[in-house]
Amino acid sequence: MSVVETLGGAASGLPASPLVRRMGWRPSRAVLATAAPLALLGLWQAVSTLGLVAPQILPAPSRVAQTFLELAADGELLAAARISAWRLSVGLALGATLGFAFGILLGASRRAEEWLGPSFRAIAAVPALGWIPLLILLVGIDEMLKIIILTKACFVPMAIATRDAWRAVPRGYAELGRTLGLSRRAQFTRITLPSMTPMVFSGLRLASGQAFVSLVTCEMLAATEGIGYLMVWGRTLFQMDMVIVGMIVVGASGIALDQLLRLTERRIRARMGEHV
Amino acid sequence: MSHPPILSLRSVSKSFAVDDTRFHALTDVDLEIAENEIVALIGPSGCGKSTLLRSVAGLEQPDDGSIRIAGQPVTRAGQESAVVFQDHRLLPWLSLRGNVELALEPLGLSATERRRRAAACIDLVGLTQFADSFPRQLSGGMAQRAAIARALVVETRLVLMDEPFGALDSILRSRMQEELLKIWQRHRVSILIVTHDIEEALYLADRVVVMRAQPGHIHEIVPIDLPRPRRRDSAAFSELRGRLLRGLATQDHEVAA
Ligand SMILES: Nc1ncnc2c1ncn2[C@@H]1O[C@H](COP(=O)(O)OP(=O)(O)OP(=O)(O)O)[C@@H](O)[C@H]1O
Ligand SMILES: [Mg+2]
Repeated sequence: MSVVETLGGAASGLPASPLVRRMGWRPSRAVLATAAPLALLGLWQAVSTLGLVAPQILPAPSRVAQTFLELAADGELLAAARISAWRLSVGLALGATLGFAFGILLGASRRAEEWLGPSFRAIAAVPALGWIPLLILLVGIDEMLKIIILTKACFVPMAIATRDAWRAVPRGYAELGRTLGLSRRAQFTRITLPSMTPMVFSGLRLASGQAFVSLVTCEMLAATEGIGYLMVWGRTLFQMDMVIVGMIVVGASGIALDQLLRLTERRIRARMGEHV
Repeated sequence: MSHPPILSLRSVSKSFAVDDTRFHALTDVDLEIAENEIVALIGPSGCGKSTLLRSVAGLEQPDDGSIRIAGQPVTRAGQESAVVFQDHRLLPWLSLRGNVELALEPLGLSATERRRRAAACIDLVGLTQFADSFPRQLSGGMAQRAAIARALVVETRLVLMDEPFGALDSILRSRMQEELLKIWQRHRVSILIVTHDIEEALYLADRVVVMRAQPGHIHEIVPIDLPRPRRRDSAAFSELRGRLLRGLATQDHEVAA
């Protein structure tokens, strides 16, 4: 609460938060969140207007907006976004599913944890970027490369969250399932799984964030299509406006995805009886 | 006691491994509970009350001895007994009705039959109005009553309760005791109830089992031949309370010495 107020006070140039409180002025979250970008936009506009940085390096906001409209109009942006979204969905679906299954295995079986846990952690420690050179040699720069990278990026947080969620199921719930005489299958679907859901969903949110970053990195390093590629292409042509359009699209969709998952997670947690 | 016992324990022992040694939580416990009988277990903390109850529930495997419910050896949890835990253990993602119906799932009833029986039990504990509420919306006493409904709905002949009212304040606690007796009179089940409250044991039980620790064992079994409803201020009640208190206090003295 106090952090939010401090941020609000700073962004709107008001000196002291007690004053704000006394006046009863409570900016909404959305207002607070947009304050910093707007300030940045103002700074950017000022820098361009004053000619402090060459327009080839930092084009004016109006120029970027125009490029955005052009790219959107001729369908180039949409085509790039579509291919990126497809890669993201496939990677997320595959990585989350496999990560969930592997997490269950690690959580449920001590032997699996002993045999596979350390290798898993070692693999997890190498970031997506580190896999690209080897994978390019193995599978080329086709779709397969992106799918593998994204799957790996989602797999790791998902597996960790699932394993932890399995272990966090209260012992009392498991005992309840046994005393009620539920079958093993019913114990899993009716007690273990629901109890794990909030933590697993947090893992999914983390996974989608990782996937997003890996996707853009991967498209910038080894691709011929997609939003990341659009940015590299812009840089090659020395069209920084194109690069900035790419950055804005990536940032905006990243935040939209995160918000969507956050909202879903909050609803799930509320549904699961947690106070949020 | 013309009927065969619903529950019988014969020289039951249970120990736990604690840092390379064995900790004897129960030694040589013999106990029988008749049909429709209420037996209360009291004793100092750590004397093995919960361990005894959990063994009957099939959650612990005794090292030695036999536990039979209606003549059948207990081999797995949830066999012929229902448990009310000290914490209500309602699943937060299910409504009260959902929690009660979950207990019926292993019986393979139709959905309508499940619903009918759950509704009847929820009514029995006076929570019909709250059937669609979630556990977080229930007060402590309501949640505990819901847990009792869940235990009764399967209609096992033996209900095991581990300090079911331990978390409630004293007024609510005595109300719940009355309600439990009402339910028991209508439902005719056998109840094994753990409590650390002597009055609760005296108010509810046909017999009170006094346990002692180190190692956990049964010290004495006191029959309570008072007619119901019992008055806590009657002379006979206070006399029995004095006797149980002495039984428990002696041990505290021994432990201290
Ligand atoms: N899983 C276990 N591992 C090791 N020791 C245990 C375990 N369960 C119980 N014990 C020990 O056995 C003894 C009896 O425990 P139990 O829970 O049955 O006591 P209790 O009579 O129910 O006590 P309280 O009134 O405090 O609930 C305790 O000393 C406890 O530390
Ligand atoms: Mg106990």
